[in-house]
Amino acid sequence: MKRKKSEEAFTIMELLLGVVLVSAVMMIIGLAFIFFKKQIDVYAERQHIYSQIAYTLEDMKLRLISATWVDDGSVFDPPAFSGEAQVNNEMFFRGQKDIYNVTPDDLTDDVWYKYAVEQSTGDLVLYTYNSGKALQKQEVLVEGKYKPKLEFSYKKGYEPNFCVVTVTVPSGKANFIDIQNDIKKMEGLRIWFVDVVR
Amino acid sequence: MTLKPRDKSFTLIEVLISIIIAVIIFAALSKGMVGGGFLLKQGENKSRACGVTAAKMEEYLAKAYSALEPGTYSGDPVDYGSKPVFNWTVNVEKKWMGDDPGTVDQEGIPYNLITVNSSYDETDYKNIFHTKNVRFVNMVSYPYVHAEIKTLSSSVSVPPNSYTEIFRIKIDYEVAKDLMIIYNIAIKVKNAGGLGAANTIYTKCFVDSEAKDIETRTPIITQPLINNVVGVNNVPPGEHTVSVQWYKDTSAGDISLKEINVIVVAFEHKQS
Repeated sequence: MKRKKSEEAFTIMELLLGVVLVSAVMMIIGLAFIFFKKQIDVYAERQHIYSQIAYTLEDMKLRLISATWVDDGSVFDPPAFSGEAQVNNEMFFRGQKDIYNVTPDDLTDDVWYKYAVEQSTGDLVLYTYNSGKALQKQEVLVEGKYKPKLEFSYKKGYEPNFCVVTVTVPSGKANFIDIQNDIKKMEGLRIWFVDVVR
Repeated sequence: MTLKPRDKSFTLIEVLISIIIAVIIFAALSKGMVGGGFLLKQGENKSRACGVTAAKMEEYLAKAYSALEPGTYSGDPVDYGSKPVFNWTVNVEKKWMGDDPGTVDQEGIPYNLITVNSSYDETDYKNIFHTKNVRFVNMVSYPYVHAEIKTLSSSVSVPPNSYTEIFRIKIDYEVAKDLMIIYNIAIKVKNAGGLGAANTIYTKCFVDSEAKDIETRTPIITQPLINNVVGVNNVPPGEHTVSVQWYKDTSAGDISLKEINVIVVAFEHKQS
């Protein structure tokens, strides 16, 4: 029986070529999927880190401005003549319990706050203590899985009630695309009622 | 068996065209992702530049009006450890509210306009080089209230019969001010010989040699302390001298100063 051309099955060459092409297409799709997913993961993670850092810096700015005392371990020495910056890795201070109700004339409603990186978890944490410095609660501002670093710095030329805070989050995944290896943001912090230098 | 047309498999041409279309789609998506990466990078650069600019602005806003000298300031670039680095300049410019510097209205309030500019280098997805800038502007206005406090310990004697200066303070404000001048004087009677109960020390405040009310009259024997509060309205901008003067109404006795303390509180003059 002679078949029409259109009724013939694939030849072995057509079949092999088809298999190769389909495999190539599947491989391309697979690689592209992995590439796109990694890109999206990096973008999403960086945006997540950015939002946590932004929240942290905003919280510091709001809470520190009405501080009524800075603990001895967190104050800076008078500026070095060389102008070299002094760096502290935590800020422990007494501030308003309600940061939107500033009452520097009444210290009875004040509590103690500390911004620091928790050594065991790596979280950047806001610790809240009562007036007797007993720990009441802790709020994670930047998750430890991102390995945040915290620096408060002071140098010659700054006013005594001013310091700069820098939050750094290393981002190894950033090597995948051409962006900075770490996420770093700085903010100037002013305090109304006390100095950060003693 | 005869296959219907819809049961036919793809031809090679159809498969090739499909592959070409798929490649075009993936190329477009890749381009989009690369473009997205550049957008992310640009956004992060701008965010860092904003951080640098905001921190510098906060540093200068923390300074007093008098500590801000007009001029342009810059320093070491801020290096986050990865490119780009951020150069910054701060420009402090003195201005008057509602007027340009050429037509200064002395009724206006002066202020220091602070402009912070951060710049950084960036290449776009076409590999074209750009210098980007972030600029923040804010101001520190002239203070509403000024206060001067000075103290002098001396043993200068009270002269008889005509006002003589004990102490002076120079003031210099950029706007008209209403002054409240407070002074406290402690005296020491070294020699009371010849002094009567009614003998008196007179004190008065002078602004630019012009006597101001109120005069104090203090009996020497019974009151070793003199104090006074004087209000002076609408003192014009510029340099002025505030002085405290005194005399006694007798040439008898020897009375000297122990200490004088002068406080000048200057409020911005309000137009009535």
